[in-house]
Amino acid sequence: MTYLSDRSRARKNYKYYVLVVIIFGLFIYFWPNIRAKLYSYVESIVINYGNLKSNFSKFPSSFHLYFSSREELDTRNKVLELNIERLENILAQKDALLIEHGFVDESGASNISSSFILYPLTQDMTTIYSTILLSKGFKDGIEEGSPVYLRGKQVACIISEVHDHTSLCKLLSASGNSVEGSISLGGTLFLKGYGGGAFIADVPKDSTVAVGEQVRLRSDPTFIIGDVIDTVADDQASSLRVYVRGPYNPVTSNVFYINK
Amino acid sequence: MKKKIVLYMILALLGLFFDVVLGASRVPNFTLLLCGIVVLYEIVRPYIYLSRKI
Repeated sequence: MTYLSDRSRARKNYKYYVLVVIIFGLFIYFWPNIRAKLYSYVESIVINYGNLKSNFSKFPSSFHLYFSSREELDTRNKVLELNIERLENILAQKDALLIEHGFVDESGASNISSSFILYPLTQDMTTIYSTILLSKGFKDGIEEGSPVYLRGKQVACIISEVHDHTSLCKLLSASGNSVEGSISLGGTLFLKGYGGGAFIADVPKDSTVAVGEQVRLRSDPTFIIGDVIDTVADDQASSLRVYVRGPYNPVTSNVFYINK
Repeated sequence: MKKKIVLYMILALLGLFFDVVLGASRVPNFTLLLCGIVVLYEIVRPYIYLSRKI
């Protein structure tokens, strides 16, 4: 009797496990649809969390504002305006150089006023996805596949998903991600993401890649990927390993730009 | 036992939240990773000396 009841219980347990596995399998199979549905509910929570986080980080400066005199604030404002003017002049000079060296035509020159400013709401600090959720989406005119850049036109990521008010950006320097870069002598570098805004490339030993050389995005040379920071030649191998890194780390950046 | 189920549910929800917000792939990688760790732990647990009931 005991033997039979144990057997039926085991059968019941077996059915239960099969059911759980089937439900889990269906969940995984329909994950993209389920995720899209769930995200519409989660989006508002993420936006509020991002706003709260940015307000919290601004708190010390806003606190200081209440105890500053009007005169001091006016002076600071003037200094900032002068700084903007100086930076705009530098940008205009750089644009002129880009046009002169044939990297871009006049319409492709950088213009701060024709770009959106985006803030990161959440970032994947792990290497599972290497994505950043940005604060503008479909309703702001963001399009899938657009390059997102940091100061100095350093390209950081490509928009991979666009939601109503947010967009998901996949980092170019994600571990194992491939990017094509070009160097000043017209050569192409097949870069592999190395994490934290860094890339590596293996080129033939006789290549003339110099340390300090600027690497640009091959598909759009107005964007900078970074500078060559080191080249390592292995005696055993026939190739030269090139290390490329941009001046800013996209994972720790607080402001991103995207062309309108 | 009940406490453990609640803990695993919370872990699964956190994993799903991460996957929903930042996951740019066809499968919820982070949740699957967590599930894998939990399943491995449950398989290994009876053989861990300290968790044996004497």
